[in-house]
Amino acid sequence: MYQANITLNELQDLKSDFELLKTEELSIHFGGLKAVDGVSFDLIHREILGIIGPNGAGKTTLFNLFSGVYAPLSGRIFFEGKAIHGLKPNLINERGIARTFQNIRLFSDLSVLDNIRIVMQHRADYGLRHLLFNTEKYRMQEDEILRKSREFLKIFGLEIKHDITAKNLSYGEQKRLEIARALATEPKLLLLDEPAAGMNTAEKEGQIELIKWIMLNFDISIILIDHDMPFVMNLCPRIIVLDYGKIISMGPPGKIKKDPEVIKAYLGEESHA
Amino acid sequence: MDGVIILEILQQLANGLALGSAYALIALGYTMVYGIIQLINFAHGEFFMIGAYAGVLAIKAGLPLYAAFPAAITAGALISAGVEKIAYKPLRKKNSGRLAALITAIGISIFLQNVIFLIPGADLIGLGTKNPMGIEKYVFGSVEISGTKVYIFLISIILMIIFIYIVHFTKSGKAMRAVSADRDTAMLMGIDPDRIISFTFALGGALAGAAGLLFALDQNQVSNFMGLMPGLKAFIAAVIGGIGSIPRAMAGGLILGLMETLAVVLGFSQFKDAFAFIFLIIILILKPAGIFAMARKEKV
Repeated sequence: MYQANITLNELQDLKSDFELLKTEELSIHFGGLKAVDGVSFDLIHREILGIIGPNGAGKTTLFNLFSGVYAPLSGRIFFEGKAIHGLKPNLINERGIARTFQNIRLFSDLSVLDNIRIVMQHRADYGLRHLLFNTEKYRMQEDEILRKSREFLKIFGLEIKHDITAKNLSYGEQKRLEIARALATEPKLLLLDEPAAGMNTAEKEGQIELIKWIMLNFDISIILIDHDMPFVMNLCPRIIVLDYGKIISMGPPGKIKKDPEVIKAYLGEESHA
Repeated sequence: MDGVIILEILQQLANGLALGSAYALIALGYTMVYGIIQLINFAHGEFFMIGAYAGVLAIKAGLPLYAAFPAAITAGALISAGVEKIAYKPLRKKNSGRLAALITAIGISIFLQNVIFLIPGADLIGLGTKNPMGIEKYVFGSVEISGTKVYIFLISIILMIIFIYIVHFTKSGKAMRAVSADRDTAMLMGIDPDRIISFTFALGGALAGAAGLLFALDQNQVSNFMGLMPGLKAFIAAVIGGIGSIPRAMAGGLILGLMETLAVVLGFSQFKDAFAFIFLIIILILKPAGIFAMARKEKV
């Protein structure tokens, strides 16, 4: 596994000025339930942003809005300055947003390698003609895809399992493969939905290093959702706290920890610790 | 006397394999479309019929067999992808549900059969002596096997190999497997499901078109209702194997072809269609997920 060896403060300094994602008064309702209610924030290139909040606070719904699963009822989303709200998920992915899921959604009957290769091949520009006649172009691109796919698997420690059916991987391995598959779409923004769920303390520390390393090495921004407060606070220089679909607090971990609103909404029962 | 029986069995085996491999070609279209949008496409038999017409007309126009097949394949692919675009896609966009799509498929089937019927002189076209496959026979010792059956079997197998190659090695084929596994996730990974669904219909229609021409060459004629029975039989084949799976649909086709021929050998040739449907009923009672289905482990 890869180590980033970088502190939170250093991460904070790494951010560029380039505004990657911007949301304005984003809202979506399901029946009478305001799942996301007037959310506005922006995200800088090379930033790791954490989103926390109690169950049902609208965290995953926010991800579904960013990735195009839902179109917002009102409000706007800009990615690299262009409006993306209401676009279909595949088009949003082409613009450069990729995600993972809270409950893992791999192509479970395909091999580990194919899970990665499919999303890369989809971007290759050879046609049926090249394939049938086994042209130079086809072979070169296929070799390149295979090389890159193996590279991804190596980063995530899955290289030796490349021909195993994805559903037969362990839970942790499936979570890593899902991140690898998202990265294979060459995103500029990676959305991680509970990347540390189901992990023990040591694994969580490894996950923190891996996520930092991904941000630095792929030169991308990351937004992540998690329930585990220490995990988010050790990883994200900036955190957004959601409750009932609204942003109730935003800032560095130090500020979030002391914010009485947050303690009331989220840390309530843990505030003695 | 024994020799005659063996000869009869071998001849029927060849018949069964030829019929079965043609069923398998059609069944692949059913199973793929079901795998990707969970629709039993009852208009599939009509894609088979349209392909047969295109191929037969090409032959009647004086084109050689190797040009008639691409004509049948292209016609099958175009009609299949066209029907998807005009009839099924608008329903999908409105989330109309599976029943609406199923009834539409039946409607399209009846519509296409009758459109051909309304064209004067089109309801039955014979090939006569223009049939390029002729009445060749292969003689192996004391066994005679009709040439057409051998061709049907060989061409079907070649087409299935090409098909498997496309599904496993082209990017559209792989994207098809991804969409079939999980359409929403495939979309979030940048794959456009609409394009892949069109591709799936075109591929299924192409195979049906080729199978249509093979049937037409065997029967030496085409008719507007010719797609009905093979279409239903291929549907049975797909269900027998386990609908949604490609290798199982092929196996289901071969099994059904052999079963039907067995019925003929046993002297029930007038009941061979009934045989297929009774077989379907038995399978649905005993193994509703197909003969090859294994007990699914439920994860808790």
